[in-house]
Amino acid sequence: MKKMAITITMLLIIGSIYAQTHSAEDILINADAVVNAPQDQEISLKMTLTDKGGNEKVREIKMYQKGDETRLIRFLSPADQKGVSFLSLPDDVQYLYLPAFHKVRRIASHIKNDNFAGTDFSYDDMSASKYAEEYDATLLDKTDDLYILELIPKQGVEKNYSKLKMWARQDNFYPVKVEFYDKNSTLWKLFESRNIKKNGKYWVASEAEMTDLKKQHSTKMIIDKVELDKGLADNIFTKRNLKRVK
Amino acid sequence: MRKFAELVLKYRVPIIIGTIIITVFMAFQLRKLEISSDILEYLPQDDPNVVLFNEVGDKFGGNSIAMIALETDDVFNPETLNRVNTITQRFKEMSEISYVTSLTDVIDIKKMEDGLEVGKLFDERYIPSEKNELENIKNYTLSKEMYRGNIVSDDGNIAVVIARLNEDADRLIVGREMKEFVLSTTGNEKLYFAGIPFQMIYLTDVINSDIVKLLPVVCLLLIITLAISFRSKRGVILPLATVFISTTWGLGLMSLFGVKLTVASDGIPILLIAIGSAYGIHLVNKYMEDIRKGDNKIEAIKETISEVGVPIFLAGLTTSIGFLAFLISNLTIIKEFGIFTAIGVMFAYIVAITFLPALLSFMPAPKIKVKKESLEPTLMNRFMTGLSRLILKRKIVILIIGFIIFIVGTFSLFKINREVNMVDYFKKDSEIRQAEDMMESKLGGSIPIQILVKGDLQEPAVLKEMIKLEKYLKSLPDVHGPQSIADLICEMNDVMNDRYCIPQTREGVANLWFFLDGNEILPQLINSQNNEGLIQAKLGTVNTKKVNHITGKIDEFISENINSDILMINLTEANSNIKEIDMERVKSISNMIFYDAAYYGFEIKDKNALEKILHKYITQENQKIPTSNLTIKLVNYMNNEDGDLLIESSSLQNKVVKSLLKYFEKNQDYFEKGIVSNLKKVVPYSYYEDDPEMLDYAAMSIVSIVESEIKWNKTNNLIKEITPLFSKDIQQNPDFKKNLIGDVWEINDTQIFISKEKFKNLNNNDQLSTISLNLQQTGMPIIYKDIDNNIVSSQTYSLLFAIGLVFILLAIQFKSVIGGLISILPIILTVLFNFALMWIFKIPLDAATVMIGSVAVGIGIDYTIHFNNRFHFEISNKNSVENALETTLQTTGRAIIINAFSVMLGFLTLLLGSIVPMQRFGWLIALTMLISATASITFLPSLLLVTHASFLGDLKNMTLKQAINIKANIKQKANNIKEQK
Repeated sequence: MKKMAITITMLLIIGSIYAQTHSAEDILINADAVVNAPQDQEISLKMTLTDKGGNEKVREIKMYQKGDETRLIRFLSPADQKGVSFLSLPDDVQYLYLPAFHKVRRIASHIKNDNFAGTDFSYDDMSASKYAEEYDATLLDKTDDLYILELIPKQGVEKNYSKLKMWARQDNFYPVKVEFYDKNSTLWKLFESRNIKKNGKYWVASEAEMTDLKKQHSTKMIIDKVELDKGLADNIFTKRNLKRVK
Repeated sequence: MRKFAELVLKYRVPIIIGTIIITVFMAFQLRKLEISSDILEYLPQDDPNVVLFNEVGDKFGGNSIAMIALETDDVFNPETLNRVNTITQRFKEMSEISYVTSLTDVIDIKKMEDGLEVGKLFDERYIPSEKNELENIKNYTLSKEMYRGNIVSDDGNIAVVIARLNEDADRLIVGREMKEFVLSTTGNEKLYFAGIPFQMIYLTDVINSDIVKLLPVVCLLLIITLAISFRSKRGVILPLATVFISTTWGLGLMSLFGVKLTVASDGIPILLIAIGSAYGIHLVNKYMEDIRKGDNKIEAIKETISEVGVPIFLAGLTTSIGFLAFLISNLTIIKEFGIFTAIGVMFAYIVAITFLPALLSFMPAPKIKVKKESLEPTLMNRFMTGLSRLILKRKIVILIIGFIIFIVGTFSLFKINREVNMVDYFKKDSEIRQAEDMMESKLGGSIPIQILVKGDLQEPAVLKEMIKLEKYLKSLPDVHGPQSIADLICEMNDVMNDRYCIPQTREGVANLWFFLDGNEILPQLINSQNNEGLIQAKLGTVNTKKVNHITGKIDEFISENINSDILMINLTEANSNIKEIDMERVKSISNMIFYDAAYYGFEIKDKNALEKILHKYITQENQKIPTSNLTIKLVNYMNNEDGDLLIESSSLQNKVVKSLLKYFEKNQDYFEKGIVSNLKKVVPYSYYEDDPEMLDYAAMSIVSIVESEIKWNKTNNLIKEITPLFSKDIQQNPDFKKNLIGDVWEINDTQIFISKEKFKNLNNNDQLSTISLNLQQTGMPIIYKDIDNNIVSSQTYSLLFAIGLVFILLAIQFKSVIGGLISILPIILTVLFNFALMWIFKIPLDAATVMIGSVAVGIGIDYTIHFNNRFHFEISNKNSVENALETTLQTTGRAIIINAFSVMLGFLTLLLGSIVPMQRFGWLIALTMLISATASITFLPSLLLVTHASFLGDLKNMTLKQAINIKANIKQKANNIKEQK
């Protein structure tokens, strides 16, 4: 039933593109929806971290995700971090498994702006795309095929960014580029989604890159393999499973 | 010289105009003269220590640390924390600042029940205001060594914001901007500004204000002295103009060459005014004398130039040489000071010998006043007469006194203290000094020691050596809070596994590293390739002797105790070397305990007993299984919903435990498969039919539980056994206990790191790969040490060089080696007297006082030359030694005294300044001048009389020469008359 409902909503949304011009708010809601659309995902990806000296570090990751708040991440490489696993459950509950010590530990991080595991994504950036919940949008401009939105954090929502600028496709609302501005309104981070293709009924970007312009450091993620709506079992996202690493 | 005098008079107009043009041009250059307060610029930039220091600065976000301290009753109150937060946030936004740490922005690794938190001590967006919450945070913060004494004082009264400035940031500009912002924030806290950037700001301001303050005073003093001595306008104006012009030229030239004014060279104007006036004084003095003799104006000028031109030139040259001797110093600031003072002195000479007579030729000849002296001897006359009698009578006594001074001075050479720290430049009550003293007493100082680590920083062997060094650093007095990536790994291990030590495997390190990756603290501890890191500690003293001692100790420790080539060996493969390896391990652990105990104030009563116990545990073969503890752990495991083996029935739990314990007892070398087959015997199939891998995972968990239990059991037993060896109860100090557990945990290691050097035989066929490690000490203390070494060598070499050169010059002038020797002796005496004073009054050798010796040579030699010259002249003219001596004292002696006093007064004005080394320099060199003058009118003549000074003429047998001289004089006068016609 739920699937049906979503599909119908999607169809309605797509249908309405041609029927009317969208308000900025609608565009943002749609952008969130298209990114979060799959029920569950199993993704193998390669992450490349590049520092300002051009030195690269490569990490291979397997990621299981169900809904938009439940996620299990396993590091496959580098060798000495193989098996390090990260389980994130709704309400900011996070567990980490360290194979070298065979121990699961709950991790709390009340600091959302800390970067995740050496990447340029903060824990906040890593969480699901919920721009519409946290930002007020205004439509700045329209190009031939893109909407350009300006996002300002809603009142009462504390963010590290003073504003965001988002470029979303007109045909499917997929955000292709987001600029993050710091409190002094200078460009701080740049997020880009590339290679956006249809995978089954969903749009998926198989390449994404976050660049921290202050640190001159970037994180590029290239998806090797993606499986959507596999019906991932709930017991994948448990502490017991977290440490099941051989 | 006479020809030269004629030339000067012939071209007097171009000389005057030219001098004025050059002076105006140079005066314009003065505006561009900059002040440098960077202590690093003392040293040549290719000095290896400077290169390393800059390299570290480049790699780890800058070397300059600025600290702002806020003091109040208790900093854990909302107002203070918000102020700290405001300052921190603002600093973070400044692009010139690479890193900021404070209470409101600092990494926090916190243990929680069944978990951990890596985050910040405070959320910068939410500073709590509730009392209880603040009280909790206060207790937590003060309980952690990472914070206590670093970003907050032990008593919680002072909060510190630490900012690291980028390597290329202009520290003066950024420092001022920081200070301005901090002062603009409101609050009742007392503020302190410490660290190199603020020291530099203060120093620059002080140099500036000192020059502005002192110059007028020096000038005024000079005017007064000149007025009293000459009692005529030209006697004041001409020497004054000479020094003004030459000082302007000297400083203008500095500016033209882009040389900045430093702590040393800011004394140049004062020095040039004090010294440079001498040439004008001598010239005017002689001119007046000649006029009084009845010469006309032009003739008097010619006479003056030809008679005193050479001695003044010689005096100028020797003075310049005294300063040029600093060229062989390694310290840039002293070199610059030497060059430009020497040039300035030569300028003074040139102006005195050209511009001054040219100007004089336009002035009407002074009216000859009836000499008061001839009717009624002045005090000075009477004094000089008495002195000459005294010398004639007591020359031997004078020489003996000189000899005693010689001995004492030589002895004191080895007793003088040294001081190079910038903080010592400021007066005790100055704002910066108070800030630094506060930092030193409450927060372990503001000057970091840095050790650059080159090696694979994810390698346990490397991290363990780092920890070893850090523990040693902590055990040293005055060294506080060492910090490095190794500490963070230990801290993570403590939070994760309750043991503050480096994991023995690479995987262990990498796993813990996972938490730290991407944290903003990392760029100041390691480079991005993880192959270079920094150990930083604070040095809580500015005392040069202590700094040298500590840096020396650290270097010694690195070279003797840190392995640079390390082999990793599995204990099971050690075979024949096992005994030696065990001994090494015992030594290594006991040393660590020793350092920790020293730091936390524990005494080890019996080190041998400690080593014995350690040895016992390290060599213990059979791993006893702690049955009761293990039972509890296994039952807990089976009760845990998240475990693999969830068993509710307690009878089945018992069965499983019993069977497992039996298995472990039988099999020393238990393994996972064995456990699985054992479990299969007791756990019903229904438990794992849905999950075929369940028992495999359970076995993995059980192995890790058993291993951990065995290791903890061993560690706890060991701790229990060594507890009585400490002077105090270890439970009283949780920090010591934490470190102690980490130290002894190493008994569990199975992978051992050993020195390649010591165990050569182990690696005959190079089957083990070598882990290389290189540690180099850098940081401000090393720079200070470098400067200190250079100050000593500057002193020694430049002094010897100056004395040697002046000796040669004098020997040539007198055409006699003995003459050179006799002339140099009063100078050496003066220099030694100066050292004796420094020893007696505990004045340290620093960037300023180091120059006194050579300056004393340069200036003091003038007196000797003038004296010798006049004495020689008088002996050639008069019939008795007694008369010659008295006349010399009455004329040149008098000039020497006047000059010495005017120079003295000039130098004494430095006492009004705010830079301590300059103050010391001022009064010491003033005193040295007095001694120099005294020596040249007492010791020198005594020496001349005793040795009969054949180089000045035969003092015993004057009559024949006198006849010749009289003839020569008549001839000369005849020539003069011809010329006038």
